[in-house]
Amino acid sequence: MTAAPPRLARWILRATVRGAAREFILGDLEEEYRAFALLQLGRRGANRWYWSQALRSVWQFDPAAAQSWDPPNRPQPKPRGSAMTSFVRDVRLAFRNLRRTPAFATVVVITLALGIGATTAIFSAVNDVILRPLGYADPGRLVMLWEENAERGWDQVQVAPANAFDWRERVQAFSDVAVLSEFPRNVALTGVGEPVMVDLGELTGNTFALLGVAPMLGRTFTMEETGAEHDPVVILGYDLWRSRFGGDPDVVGTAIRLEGTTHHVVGVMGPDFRYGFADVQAWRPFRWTRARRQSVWFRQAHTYRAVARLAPGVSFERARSELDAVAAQLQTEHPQLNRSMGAGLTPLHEFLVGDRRAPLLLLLGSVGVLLLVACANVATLWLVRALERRREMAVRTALGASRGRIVRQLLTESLVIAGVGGALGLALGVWGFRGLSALRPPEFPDLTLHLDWRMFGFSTGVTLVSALLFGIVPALRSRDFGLRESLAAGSRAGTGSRSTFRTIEGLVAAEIALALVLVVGAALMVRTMGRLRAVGLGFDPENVLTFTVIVPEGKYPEWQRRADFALRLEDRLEGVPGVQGVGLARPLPLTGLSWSSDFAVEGRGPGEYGSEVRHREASAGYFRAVGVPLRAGRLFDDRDGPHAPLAVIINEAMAATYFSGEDPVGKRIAFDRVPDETSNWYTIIGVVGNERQLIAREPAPQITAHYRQDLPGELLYVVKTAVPPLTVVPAVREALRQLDPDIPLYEVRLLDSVVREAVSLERFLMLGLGVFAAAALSLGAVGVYGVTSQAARRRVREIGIRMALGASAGRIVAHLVMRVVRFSAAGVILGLGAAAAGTRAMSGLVFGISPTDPVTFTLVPAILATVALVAGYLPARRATRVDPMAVLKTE
Amino acid sequence: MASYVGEFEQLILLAVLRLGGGAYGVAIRRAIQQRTGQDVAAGALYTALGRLEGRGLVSSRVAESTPERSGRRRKYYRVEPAGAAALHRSVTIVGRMAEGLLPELEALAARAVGAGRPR
Repeated sequence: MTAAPPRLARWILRATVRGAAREFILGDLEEEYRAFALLQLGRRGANRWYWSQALRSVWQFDPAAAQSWDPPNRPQPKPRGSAMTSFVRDVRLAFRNLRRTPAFATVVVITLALGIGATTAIFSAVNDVILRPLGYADPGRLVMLWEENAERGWDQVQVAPANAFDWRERVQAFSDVAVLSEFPRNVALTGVGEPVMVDLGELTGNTFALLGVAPMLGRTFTMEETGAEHDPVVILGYDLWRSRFGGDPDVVGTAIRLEGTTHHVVGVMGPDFRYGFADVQAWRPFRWTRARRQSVWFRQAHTYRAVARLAPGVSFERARSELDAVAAQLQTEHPQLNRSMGAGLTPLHEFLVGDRRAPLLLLLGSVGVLLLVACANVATLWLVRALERRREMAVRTALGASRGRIVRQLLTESLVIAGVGGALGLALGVWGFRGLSALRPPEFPDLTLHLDWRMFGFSTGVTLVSALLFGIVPALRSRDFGLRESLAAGSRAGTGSRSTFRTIEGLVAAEIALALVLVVGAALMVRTMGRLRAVGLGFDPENVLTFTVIVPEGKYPEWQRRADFALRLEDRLEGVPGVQGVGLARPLPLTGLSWSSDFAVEGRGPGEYGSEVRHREASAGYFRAVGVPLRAGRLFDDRDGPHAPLAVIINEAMAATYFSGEDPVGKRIAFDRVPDETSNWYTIIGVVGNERQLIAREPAPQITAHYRQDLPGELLYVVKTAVPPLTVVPAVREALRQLDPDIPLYEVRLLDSVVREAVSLERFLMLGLGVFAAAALSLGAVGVYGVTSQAARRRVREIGIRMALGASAGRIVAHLVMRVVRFSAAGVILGLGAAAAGTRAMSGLVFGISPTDPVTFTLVPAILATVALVAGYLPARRATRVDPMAVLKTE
Repeated sequence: MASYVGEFEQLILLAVLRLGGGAYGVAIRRAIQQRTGQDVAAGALYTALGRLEGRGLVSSRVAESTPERSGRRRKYYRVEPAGAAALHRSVTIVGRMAEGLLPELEALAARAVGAGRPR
């Protein structure tokens, strides 16, 4: 036999269908599957057919009937309903009961689906970022190595390659150490269709072997291929291979041109390979020259990442102490360069997840709170419904149903409805995840959905837990529905016992408390955003376009020609209609990207050096284009050409920190701790206002070198326009095309969007928390409304009598609202305590306020109390509209 | 008084009758599906057949096992005289009540196109 029906479906059938009929049902379906379904529907269609047949058969099979036709001459054990079949019977009954109250069932399903859906959506992000394994061999043995320097205030910073190579040689606890670049190198790929920019990751040749990943095609690099003395080789990423090479398997062994240089393709990585360190499309070994490797720079450039694999049997602790020892040796061997330079290690996965853990877990926690609110809400609905079914329960008890049987039936009903809500929630979660990844901040470059066992396990677990949460209280309260009490309650069935009513009020109070926690969280993020927006940036981002141009070294080998190119492009851009100013600057403010160094001022003592001054290259036009004011001296001009004395402009923070009480203009500085005859001296020609390098940090001391004297590899232009900036893009492209048609314009964006991006994580959290808080608040309001309506309904007779006796409507409203005040106050107080404890998790995420911000903690309870009062007042007022006579007549 | 059988059971009895000696699960299901378009779940079929057999309306014999059923046996059904009587009675009752009404019924039903299946 070639094809068999789906194993799981068969198993379900076998497990649920009892008695002799099982053989015939299984046999029939299998025969039909092979004889008809496979031929008519194909493999997939037949499997679907079998599944539906199997499930319907489980559903519609009644073992009690089957019993009667077991041939009497063949004695069989009396087929008692197994746990499974009796469960199926309960489920069927549950569906029947729920269908009787479609409005109730719909509200419950929607509430649960939204709660479970939101939880699932957030969990899928947590799954992707935190839980999913890296896909490397034995990932628990991989560690990220970093350097630290108390003197410079460095903590877990990038490493200098020379140090990493020394660790590789000397630390026995590592079986290997790989070095890789964290920032992709943007290079032009030419010769395959249109020229295109490719993000290239550079690494030492041993990296792939160390990670324990195999290529899909070809081979990975060898350590010997690292360095400029070997022919360039490259490994393509799956996406690049598909998009630019049409998925051609013969690409391995061919040559491609990157940055105008021939590279041999040695391999292609598979679609599942995650690099994790940078978002790149291809890899090649570092092209360091021998001279570079022997230069001071090699031990100074703390811009690389180092990954190590622990040797077999070596503990993390031992590796740490060995690394410490080697770092200490290097300090003595290189007293200048490695002064107080320490090193350390972190498990790789933990390091890569890094800062993304806290915001995700915050969202997961918040959505969990929202789910609790939803469950509390459903529980109140469930209780009210249970009250309405008291007579049914009483009758069933009278007819001999045990208490356990009734509890089981009620729990099954909650399980069934949670199951429906959960299935719908999973679908909503997938949909919500799409929204989440559309809004994601740049901290999460590639959120991908994995419908794996973790996802299904999680949503199943959440569904079961919710079913228990909202089902258990009503199920246990079913003892209230005792025979005597319920039947005696007679026509007033559906109004509820006092203690059940208390329970409902307690649940609503809990909803208020939980909603308050979420609203406080959301309000803290709103306040944070407000503070961030109010920060003085130090520059004016309005109507400024930015884009990058890379002048290929292959075509323009001398830096002088590249500098000329930059200047000519600047000139041409000035002439574009609508353009008010043009400049170059790299890096842009607020991006946090830059390098820093020590510096010494000419004429000061050897101990009087400064450290951690940030570097940037720019043109004079930049300051004018983005409105950074000149405070002293002058900006760059023609006097600062390529052969003139080196000039720098410093910011006010640097002037204040290192030149207080003196005029920095005209002073000379060198970017060495102890200058010697090889040092380059820069003259300070001006002081400009501070710009923020990071939005949440005070501006740090910064120097700006002239791009004509210190040409960056990428030309990052800023263009200030008098018209909407994007309208000049075509003219800008044309200007570039006229200079060189082979150079693409890329990373075109507005400076405004750079500013927006700087607060995107905060905005993301604000939106997420805001949505959850709004949902929780609405559910809470619905809860208050519901419980007050219920209270009014329960006491409609009393209200009628009172009104007949002359009580004013106001008094009755006040009476009903007093209850709302009582349980809302309890909820608010409880919520305040929970919020004060819970917002501590946000301490790293708020800015400019404390997590227990007094304004938030005053305003939010007031809002909550108002919402609760309004939600309670409306039904209370409606209750007073009853006609006393009508009420009394019905009694 | 001979017993009466419901609509679903009528369908099954008629199918068994129609199939002669070849009435086993798959054949019955397919006969009903081809004539009425109803896809009867195997679980429902055996539940109903069990009930009919319990009332003595059908009898069954277990036959050979075949490889396409992975060695499971077939069960063949036959309509018993009591079953034939009940079926005859039930079909005639409906037929008598419907006598002469079919044209009107068709006309009325045509207007109800789009309404849900009656419960």
